[in-house]
Amino acid sequence: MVRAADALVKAMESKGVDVIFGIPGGSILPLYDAFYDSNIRTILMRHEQQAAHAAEGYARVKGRPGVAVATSGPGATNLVTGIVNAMMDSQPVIAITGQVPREVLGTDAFQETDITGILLPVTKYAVTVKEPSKLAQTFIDSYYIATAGRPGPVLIDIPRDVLQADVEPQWKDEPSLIKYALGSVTEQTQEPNPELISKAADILINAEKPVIIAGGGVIISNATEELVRLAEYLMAPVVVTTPGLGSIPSDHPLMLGVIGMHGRIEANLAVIESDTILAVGMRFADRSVGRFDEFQKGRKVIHVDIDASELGKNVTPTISIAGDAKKVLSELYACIISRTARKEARPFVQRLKAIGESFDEFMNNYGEPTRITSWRALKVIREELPRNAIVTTGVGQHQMWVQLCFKVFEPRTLLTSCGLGTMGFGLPAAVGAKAAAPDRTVACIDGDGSFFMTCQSLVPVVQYDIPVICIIFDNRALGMIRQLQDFFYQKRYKDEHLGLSRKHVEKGIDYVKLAESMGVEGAVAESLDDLRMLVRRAVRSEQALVIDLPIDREERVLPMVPPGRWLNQMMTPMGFDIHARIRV
Amino acid sequence: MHAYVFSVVIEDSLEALIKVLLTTRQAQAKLISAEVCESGIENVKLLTMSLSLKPEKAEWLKRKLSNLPTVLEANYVGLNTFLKV
Repeated sequence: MVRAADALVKAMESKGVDVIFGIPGGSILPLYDAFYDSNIRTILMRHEQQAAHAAEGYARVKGRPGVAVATSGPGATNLVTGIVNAMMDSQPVIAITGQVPREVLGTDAFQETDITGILLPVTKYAVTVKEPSKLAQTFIDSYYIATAGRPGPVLIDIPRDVLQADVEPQWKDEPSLIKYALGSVTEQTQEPNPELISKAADILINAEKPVIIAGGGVIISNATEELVRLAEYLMAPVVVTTPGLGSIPSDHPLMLGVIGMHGRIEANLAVIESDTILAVGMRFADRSVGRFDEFQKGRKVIHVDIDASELGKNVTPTISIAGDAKKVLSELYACIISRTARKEARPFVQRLKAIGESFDEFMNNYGEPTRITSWRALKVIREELPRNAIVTTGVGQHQMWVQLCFKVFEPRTLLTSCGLGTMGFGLPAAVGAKAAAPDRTVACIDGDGSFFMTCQSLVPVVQYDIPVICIIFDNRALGMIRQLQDFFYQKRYKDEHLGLSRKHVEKGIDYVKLAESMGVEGAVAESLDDLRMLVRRAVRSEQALVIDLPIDREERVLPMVPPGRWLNQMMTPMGFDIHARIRV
Repeated sequence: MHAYVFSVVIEDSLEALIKVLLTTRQAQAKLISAEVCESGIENVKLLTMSLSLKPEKAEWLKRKLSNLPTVLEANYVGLNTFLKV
């Protein structure tokens, strides 16, 4: 017999768990005691939300579940934002929470809360384990569920006395849930329907302006090779959703960039002009397509997703194919090459690329040449980071600038909060990413608003030698709020100012001192040359560094499609006449 | 809104039942009645729900329920009844 907590740790080890992110507390202490004798590395975060983000950062880089651990009550409730973030972005995170002993459950005991009830709607699976003998098996089940089909978070809530009970250390490596034990068809094993593949192939072969939209599902299913091969054979341009960034290298000749509210001009124009859309591993979010009715007008839509409930949810496709992106793309390719020769280059792609290049040139030359703009700063950062560096972001203007102009060359190298839009995601996700890939450069590109929400994640950076570079785009404002109040609320600015004084708007938080108080070196980049030098030094030295990059609070992220409008309503910066360029 | 009867075969746990009900909430369904009974298989229950639902949401709900790890099968029939809600 062994303690159930020890059996759980053995089960975790058997699935390859090598690190957990969390904070101990009374109800979860038996598990921490079991970690004492294990090779699993424990990283003490300074807030449970950050533990969940770190676990997600780890999961996104590794492509397998990250684990977050918290105690009962406030420890568990603090996890909620991080868990919902993982749910919205389909990432496998396993949350393990302590719970009060079974005999006091339901008595409003100290630090008791029904975390299973709270998280049921926003997890794939949530369970309170009442039988000590089932604890290890529950972990195996949860690991399977988190990764099966469309990935997502799971919760295992464990009363303290369950962790402490003696059990036979027995579990099976397969899931015990009836659905999986019976071997019924699951999303992951589901074969794409050959008839639908055949019909979709015909539509794509006969399309004059086919466009492929790649979503996060392409990255999750490791389908980059299949995507690129199909696009090149069809000579079809590829646009991506925000989670799909990295599914095809940004410098690939057929890649037109991100679509949507803050999408690239050429990418949105491609969708508008298309006669056929092949949408793979994406869910037609309002941020990506603006208006569902306009999207469906005058074009054929082939929608591929592993989650059958996504098919027809927002957009009614011409063909819906339920299946794994890698399998479907592979079978589509096989079907198409058996029926037609490789397509010739399509003139509309070159025309759209030229419009995109003219926008890049416009932004590169915007204002005085030495002025620090977000656009120029991101160009400098990209030039100094290795091609395979992992970049995380917070949420806000800086994130939109990243998706517009920061080149992403490999899958799983841009980690950003897409569906939930969680400010503060960047730094703890970077901690998780660096723990997953200690040999690679990890940089967090953050806004000052986002950074301040989770900046205490700098402490584990030092404590566990997880050196990440953090670059704060510091405009002393909630920049996106300021932009929205400017555009849609007649400049009635309210509570968007992050500085220390309304009178002296430039007086802000001293991020250098803040970083140094947590043991991380900090520096201010006064110019683009400073920024280049600082990033270069941090990459070479492999030391953590916080760079405060003051930027203009009046910068606006453009293009922008106003909420609820079709993509052809793009607002562009003053001086860039999109209509003139389309006519050319 | 139209009336539908959903039959859901569920692995036996209170959490599994609640998750199914919460999922119907995501479909903006109005629950008219629900009944849980033994399925004849150990650890498996049959949940029968009468719902009023926008017609375009019925198939979505079936697929969403079928995806749940604790749901073995989900089906529905429309009652061809228009409900004024």
